[in-house]
Amino acid sequence: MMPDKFNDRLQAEAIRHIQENEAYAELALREPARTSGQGLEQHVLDRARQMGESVALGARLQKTAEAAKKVAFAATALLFCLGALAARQAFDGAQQGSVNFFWLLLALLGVNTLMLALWAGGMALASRKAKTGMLGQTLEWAVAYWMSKLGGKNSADAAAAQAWFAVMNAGAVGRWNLSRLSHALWLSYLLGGSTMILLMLAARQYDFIWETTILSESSFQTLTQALAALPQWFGFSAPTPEQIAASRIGGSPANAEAARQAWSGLLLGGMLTYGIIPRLLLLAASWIAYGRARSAFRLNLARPYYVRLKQKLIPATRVLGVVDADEDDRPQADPEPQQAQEETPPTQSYWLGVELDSAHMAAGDGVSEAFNLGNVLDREGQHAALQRALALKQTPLVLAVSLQRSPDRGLKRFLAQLTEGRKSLTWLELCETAGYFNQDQQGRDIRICDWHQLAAECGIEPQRVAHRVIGTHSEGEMKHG
Amino acid sequence: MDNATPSKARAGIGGDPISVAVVGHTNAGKTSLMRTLLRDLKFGVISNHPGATRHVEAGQILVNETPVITLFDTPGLEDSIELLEALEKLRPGQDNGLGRLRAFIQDLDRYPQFSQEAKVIRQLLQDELIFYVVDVREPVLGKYRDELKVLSFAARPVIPVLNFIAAPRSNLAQWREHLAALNLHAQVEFDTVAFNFEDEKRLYQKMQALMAARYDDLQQLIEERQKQWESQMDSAAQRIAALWTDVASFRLMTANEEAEIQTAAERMQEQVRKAESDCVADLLQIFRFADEDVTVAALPVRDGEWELDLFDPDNMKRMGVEAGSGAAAGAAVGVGVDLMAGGVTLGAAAALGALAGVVWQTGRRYREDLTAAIRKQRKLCVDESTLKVLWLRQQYLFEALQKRGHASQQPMALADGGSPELPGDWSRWLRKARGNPEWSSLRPGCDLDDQERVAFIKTIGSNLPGVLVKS
Repeated sequence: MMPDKFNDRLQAEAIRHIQENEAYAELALREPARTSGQGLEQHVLDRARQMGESVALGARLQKTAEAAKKVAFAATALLFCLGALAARQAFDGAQQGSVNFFWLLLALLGVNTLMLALWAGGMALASRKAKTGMLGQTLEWAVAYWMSKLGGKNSADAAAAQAWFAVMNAGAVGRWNLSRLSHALWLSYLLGGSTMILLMLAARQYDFIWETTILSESSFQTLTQALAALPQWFGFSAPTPEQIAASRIGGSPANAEAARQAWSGLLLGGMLTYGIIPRLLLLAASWIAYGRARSAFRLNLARPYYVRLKQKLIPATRVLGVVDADEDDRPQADPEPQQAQEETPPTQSYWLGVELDSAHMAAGDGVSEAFNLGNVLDREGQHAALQRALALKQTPLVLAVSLQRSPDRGLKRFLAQLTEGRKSLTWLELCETAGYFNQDQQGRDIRICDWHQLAAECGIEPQRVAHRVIGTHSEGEMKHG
Repeated sequence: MDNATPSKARAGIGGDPISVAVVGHTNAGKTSLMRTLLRDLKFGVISNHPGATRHVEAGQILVNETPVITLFDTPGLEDSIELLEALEKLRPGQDNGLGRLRAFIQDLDRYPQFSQEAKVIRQLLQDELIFYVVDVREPVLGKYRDELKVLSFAARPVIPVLNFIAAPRSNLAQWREHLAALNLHAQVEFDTVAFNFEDEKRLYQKMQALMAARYDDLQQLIEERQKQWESQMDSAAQRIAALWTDVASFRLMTANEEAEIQTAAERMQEQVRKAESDCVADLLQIFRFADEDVTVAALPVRDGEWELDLFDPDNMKRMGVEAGSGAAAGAAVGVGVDLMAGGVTLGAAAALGALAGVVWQTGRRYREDLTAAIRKQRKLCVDESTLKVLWLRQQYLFEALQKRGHASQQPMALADGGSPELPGDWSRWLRKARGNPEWSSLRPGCDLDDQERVAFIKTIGSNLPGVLVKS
């Protein structure tokens, strides 16, 4: 056999079969640490090679192949004997040394021809059907039985045998492999039959006759001549019309010796041209097709199994880890939600929005013009607001922030600057657009906690943190709980 | 610190990977972007608390085992207003943006509050490209404008990555306008929650536009990712189609007695359940959701199993499938009698087929039909309603897995109400599957590689949403 990649691929498929079959879960296949190669298939093959080594999978597959070969040889030998026996049987029906030629031919070639037609029909009609039924199964059964005898059920041997057949009996490889076997078996049968015929004809004397009840003599003439056309072309003798007419049951040919010779020639020629040669040609063709199928055999890398393997063998991404670590080890504690009775700010309080969405400016609607300090959006706004707050000294101040902002360090700094020196006079109002956190209630709770934490860090008392939902359907105060 | 100059000459893949700093305000979704691009649900720390990421953590995107892009996830910029003020106050020797950033890094001791920002700035100086992640639900506030100013000091190409575009309240237009005013036209819409492969492709294409020298590397990456995505979709679709085929063509023969039918039906259910959970496991693996990720992603599956049993009648209600009739007498829910084969059973074709079945696998079903008729057996199969539920469930999971970024943290909402949409060819498929019991891998001796079966599965698979019908 040409050194091809078929055996590597076979081994990869075997690994897949073993891994996908739960019965072999105990077969400890070790995943290799790394694989090498160009492209996915190479990686897969390399992986299979490495994994197979631990259970000597290659050798076991080889063993199955050998066993299959032995079974096939035995079957061929058996069919040879069966063919001989069948021919013997056909002649045994002879009465007083005369044999019905057409019965004999039918007995020797009939089943073969029928099976050939079935094979051809199967290949043509369902050339896409991968598996031949009985033959493949029988062979599989025989070898699997043998292998499991050797190693017990669920052993590595049984697994290898099963995997081997899964590949060898499936697809184009399987189709041609089994065709090859089937033609070889029938060829052997026919050879056995022909050998027996030769022996019988050499050692005994038979008169060939034919008989009919409803058919005319001329149709037998035509039939015989049609049958003889091909063998004659190969140089076999055939009975002349006179000999055919004289061979009818009860008739007596003028030259019995010559008639016997002619009919024998036709018999052997028929066996050869209608049985042996077609089978031989088909055997050769199947052999070639099998070789081609073998080298055309590819792993179906679109299988989920291989897609998964690809992610493992050829990763598309890689995590490098931390490259610039955080030195100061601030613990990130989840702040506890704080519950406190809300304390409303005095009516005469200043109101300042901090990074509010335009929709949230409604929160300041109830505040009179003089007390509304507007919305701080940027650096300049921050500077201006700080100046104002400094000027306001000891008047209460409500800081409105948006729950949609995350309380970052910039906000914390600014709020801390604002509350500096007026801690007891500052309220924090958390504004939320109705429905904003609909999809993410957990996120909302966390956000509220974070703001409470920031308030605490800025010295704003928990009871002075209020919560407001602003929106079309649920306008009004809503307490966080 | 700044030893990597962006214009370093490189020759194709095999050269240094393109280094990209992923920066943005705290909670904008930087780590989410990393997770999605790296297809790694466990990368970094994601939390609703500000400042979840404190280290700079890196990941690489590879093509054929060669890194093409190195992404650096940075801590969020939290106080850009003060940072910019500090940078502006610096009087470096080299009076430009880069000079300021370098001077800032050299004089870090003066700014203990900026340890986090310092890491970002170090990355800005080291990396060739910047992804600026924007939460477009936010208004264009002064602090964000200041962040962009700080970024502009680094004199690196910036690709604004607009995150959360699928959110109902977004300020996308304002962001676009502001970014355009800063000459940042190479914006990419990229929702890390509602993942869309085309967006990812566009991100790489913008990189190509900004880094002409690395065009070919990036092209290779785009092609590779495209291929990967397609093969992922294809193999997931094939997997679902194979499951459906296995179950739809599954058939069990049983004696026509109630007790026997019941046992056989239960056995059948068990096999179908297992087949479905195998399929779920495969789908999760194909889309690289590890078992523990499933919980994170809140898919309606747990430990590789759907939360609701396939044969639970609730499923039909939930998915709007009408309960089917023709259940086998005495059989468990979800199992019916195969009525299709009734007409064929005694035909001449069946007799011929049965004969052929002795030799060819193809004829096996006729042989079975004949035996069944002679022995007066019942033929059990999975009923149509259950098949519909099975199909719709996998389709739902398939869509969910495609669309969900690896950063998604919200639970998936089960689509309820509305009538389920089944493919137009549904009944034809069903007939075909029922007529080919040898296609079911749930019974022994099935040839998975049977070309007709494979072709059938391909046809079915191509009807799943998101799968392009090829040729």
